[in-house]
Amino acid sequence: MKVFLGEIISGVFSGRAYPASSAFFDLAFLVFLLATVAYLVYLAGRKDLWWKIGVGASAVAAVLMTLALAFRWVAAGWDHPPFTNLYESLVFFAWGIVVLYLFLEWRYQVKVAGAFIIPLACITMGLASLSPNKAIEPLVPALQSIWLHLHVMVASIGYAAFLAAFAFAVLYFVKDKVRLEWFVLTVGAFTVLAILAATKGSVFTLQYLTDAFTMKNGVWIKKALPATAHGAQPIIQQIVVPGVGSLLLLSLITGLVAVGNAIFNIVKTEESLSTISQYAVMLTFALFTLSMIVLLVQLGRMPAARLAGNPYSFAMLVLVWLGWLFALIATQRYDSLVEALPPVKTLDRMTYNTVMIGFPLMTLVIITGAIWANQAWGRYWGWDPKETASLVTWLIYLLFLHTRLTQGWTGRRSMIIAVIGFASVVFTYLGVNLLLSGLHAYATG
Amino acid sequence: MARSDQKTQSGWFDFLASLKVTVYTLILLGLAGLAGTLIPQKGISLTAKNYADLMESTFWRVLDKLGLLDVFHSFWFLLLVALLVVNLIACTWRYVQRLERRMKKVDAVLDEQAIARQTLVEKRAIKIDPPRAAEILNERFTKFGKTQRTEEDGVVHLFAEKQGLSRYAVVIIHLSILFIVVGAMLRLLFGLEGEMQLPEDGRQNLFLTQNEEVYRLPFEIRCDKFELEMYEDGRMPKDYRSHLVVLRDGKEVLRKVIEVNDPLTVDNFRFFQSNYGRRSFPILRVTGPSGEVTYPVMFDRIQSIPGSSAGLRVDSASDQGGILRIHLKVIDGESLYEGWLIEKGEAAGFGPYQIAFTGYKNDYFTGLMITADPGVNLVWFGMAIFFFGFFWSMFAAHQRVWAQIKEGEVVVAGSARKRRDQLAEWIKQSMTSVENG
Repeated sequence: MKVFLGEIISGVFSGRAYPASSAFFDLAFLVFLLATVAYLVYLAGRKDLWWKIGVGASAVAAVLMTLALAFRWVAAGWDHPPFTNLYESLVFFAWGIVVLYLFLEWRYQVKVAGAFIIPLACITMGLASLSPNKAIEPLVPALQSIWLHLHVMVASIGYAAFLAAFAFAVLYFVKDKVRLEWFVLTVGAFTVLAILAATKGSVFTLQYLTDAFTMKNGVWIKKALPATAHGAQPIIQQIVVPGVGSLLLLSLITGLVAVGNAIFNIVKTEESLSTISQYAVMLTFALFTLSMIVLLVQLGRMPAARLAGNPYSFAMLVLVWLGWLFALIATQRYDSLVEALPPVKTLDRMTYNTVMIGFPLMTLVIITGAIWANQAWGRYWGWDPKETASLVTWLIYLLFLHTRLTQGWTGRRSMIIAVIGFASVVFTYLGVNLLLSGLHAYATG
Repeated sequence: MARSDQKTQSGWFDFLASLKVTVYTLILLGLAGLAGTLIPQKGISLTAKNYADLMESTFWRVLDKLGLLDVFHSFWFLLLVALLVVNLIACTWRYVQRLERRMKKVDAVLDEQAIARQTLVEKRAIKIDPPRAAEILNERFTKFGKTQRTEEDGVVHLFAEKQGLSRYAVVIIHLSILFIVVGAMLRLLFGLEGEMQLPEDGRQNLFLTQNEEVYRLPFEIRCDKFELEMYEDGRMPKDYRSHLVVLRDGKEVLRKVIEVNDPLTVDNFRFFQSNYGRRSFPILRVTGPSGEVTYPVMFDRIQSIPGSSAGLRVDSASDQGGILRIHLKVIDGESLYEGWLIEKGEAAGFGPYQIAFTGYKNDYFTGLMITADPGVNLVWFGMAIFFFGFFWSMFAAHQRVWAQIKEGEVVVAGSARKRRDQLAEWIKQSMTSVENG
C-alpha cells in the first residue's frame, strides 16, 4: 500500500504526462472504492452522512478521471484522444457513468440509485485496470478518423445511460414489490453462469478435485491458427489458482439451496422468504466473499495468473458478489430498502428519461460508425457481428419507446424491456469482442 | 391507438397498421440479428473453404437451407424487412389521416362537459368584469400561441394552440427509416464492390467484383506514386497514400492523393485505399492500333490494355537457366491469343497487338477497394432527417389551452401529451393574473 501510494505521489509530481495519467487513474480508483463502500453503507443504514460521502467521493473521482484522461491525451502527444482501445474505452465508460450519475443525482435526487450505479462504475474501473494492454498505442491508419473518436465517445456515454436505466428498472422491481425470490433466482442463475465461465466448467466436472479456478487469456490471434467453423480459435492458456475452486463450489451449493427454496416458494405461493432461504443467502454471501478474498490473495502471489487472467470472468465474479450482497441487504432489510426508494412512478419516469438520453446517443453510435465504415472500408454496413449486435440493441430500445409512446406501456412490462436492452448492451460492448471475431476485434486491446 | 370513432379502413389494413405487427416484426428482426451474430455467416465470419467443410454435415446443411448461414440475404429476412416497411407505411398513413382530420376540425369552442373532460382544468370565481378578465387571458393566450376568440351567448371562448406541426415529426422519423431501407435496397440491387491492385505507373480499368466478375470502368486509373510511412518502431504503418490519376480516352481528367479514410470519387465509383503489398511485376510494352504504352502489370490478374477494350493476363512464369519467360493471354472480344514471351526478347503478335516483355521490377503495389453505391446518399439523408425528426418531437410539445369567461366565473383548461407539469403551472399563473386583475 505504501509503495502504491508512493507511486501515485511520484506519478502526480513527475511532471510527465503518462505517469501522471496512471497516478490519477489509480487515485480515482481508490476514491471510487470509497464511494462504493459509502453507498453500500448508506443502502444498509440510510444515514445521510454516508450518502454525502458517496456523492462527494464520486464527484472527486469524476474530476480525477477527467485529469487521467486529459493527461493520457497529452501523453499521446495530442495525436489522438484516449478513446482507441478497450482499456481507454472502459475508462471513458466509467467516466460517463459517474458524470451521468452525478447529473441525475443533481437533477432528480434518487439517493439509493447510487448504491447500484456507482459499484457498477467501480467494476468498470477495475475491469479497465485489469486490462492486459494499457499502453498508449500508435494507431493504424484505419483508426485515424474523427468519426471513430466520436463513435467511441458517444458509445461510452450512451451505454452509461442504458446502465442507469437498467439500475432504475431493477429498483422499480424492488419498489413494486416483485417477490424477492425472483431476485434470488436471477442472481443464482447468474452465479452458475459466472462460475461456469470463470472455471471453464472444471468446478462442475470436478476436474481438478474442485480446487481449480482457471483463467485464460482472452487474446485472439486472428488467422494465425487454423480457422474453424467459428473463426480463429483463441490461444487458451490455463492456470490453476489453488484453493478457490472448492470455496466457489461450496458457495454454489448454498446458492442453489437458496434458489431451490425460492422456486419452492414461488410454486407454493408462500408469503415470505423462509428462514432457510435467508440463511442460505447469508451463507452464500459469506462463502463467496471468502472465495473472492482467497482469489485476490492467490492472485497477489501468482503474477503469471494475474497476467493471464481474463478480466471479464473476474468482473463477472465481482458482479455475482454484488448480486449476493444485494440479495442479503434485500432479505435482511427489505422494508427499509423499499421505503428508501422513491415512488414507482418516479423510478419508471427515471428509466424512461435515461433511455431517452441513451437512445439518440445509440443512434449516433450507429451513424458515426456507419460514416467511419464507409470511409475506411467503402461500405456503411456489413452485418459485422458488432454492427448487428448494436442494431439489435437499438431495436430493443426502439421497442421500449414505441410500446410506451403509442400504447402507454409503463411499469413492469416496460422495465423488463429495459433490462433485456441492457443485457444486449453488455453483449454488444463486451460479448462480441470477446466471443466473436470481426472487424472490431482490435478493440480487445 | 385504435380508435373506433371513424372506422373506414378494412380489417386487413388495421392489422397491417397495428402495433402488434410492429412489435412482433421488431422481435423477429432482433432474433434474426442474434442468429446472424452467433452463427457464422457466409462472407463475414465463414470462409468459402470452411463453408465447404461444414456442408459435409447434415446439421449445417439444414441451417444453410434455412438461410441461417446468410441470414441478412435470406428470403425470410427480406420478407421481414418488407413487412416492417409495409407496417411503417400503413401506420404512418393512418396517423397522417387522423392528424389531418384533427387539424381541419379544431374545437375552438368547448361546451362545459367537454372542457371538464380535459386533462388539466381550473375553475375560479372572479370578482372583476368578464371583459377585463377576457382581455387579460387573451393577452396570455396570444403569447402562448395562435389564439381564436369566439363569443356565444355572452360567454367568451378562447382557444390557443402551440407546436401543432410538431405532430408531423413522427411522420418524418418514419419516412427516414423508409429512406434508409430504400437506400439499402438500391445498394443490394445495383451496388458494386470490388478490388484492384496497382503498382506504381500501373494503369487499369478492369477490376474483379465480389462475385468474381470482371467489371469495366468507363475510365482508366493510374497510380503515379505509392508512399508508405511507418511508425518509429518500424512495425506498424502510420500512413499510406496513393497518387491516383483518372484518365478518360487517355487524357488526364482528375488527380487525387488518397489515403485510408480519404477516398477518391469519380462518377458513382469510389476508390478506397485498402491495403498494400510487395510483388514482382512484369513490365510490358504494348503496341496497338491506338499507339504504344509501357507499363507494369500484376501477375495473374486481368489487366486492361490502355486505349482498347481488350484485356490481358500474365498467368504463369518460368525461369529456365536464368532466362525469364512469361505466359500471356490476350482476350479481345471473342478472340483469345496466347503465347510465351522472353525477358528483353522480341515483341510478339497477339492479334492486333505487338507485345514485348521489357523487364520486371520488385516494388510496392497499392490495394484499392472500389465501390459503387447508388443508395448511399439516400441512407445519409434518412439518417439526417431521423435526427431532425427525433429532436423536433423531443423538444417541441404540442399543447392546447381553452378558456371560458362568463359573469363571475372563469374556466381554463389545457391538454398536452408532453410537459404537462409546465402547462399546469401556466394555467395556475393565468388564474392568478385574472384574480389579481
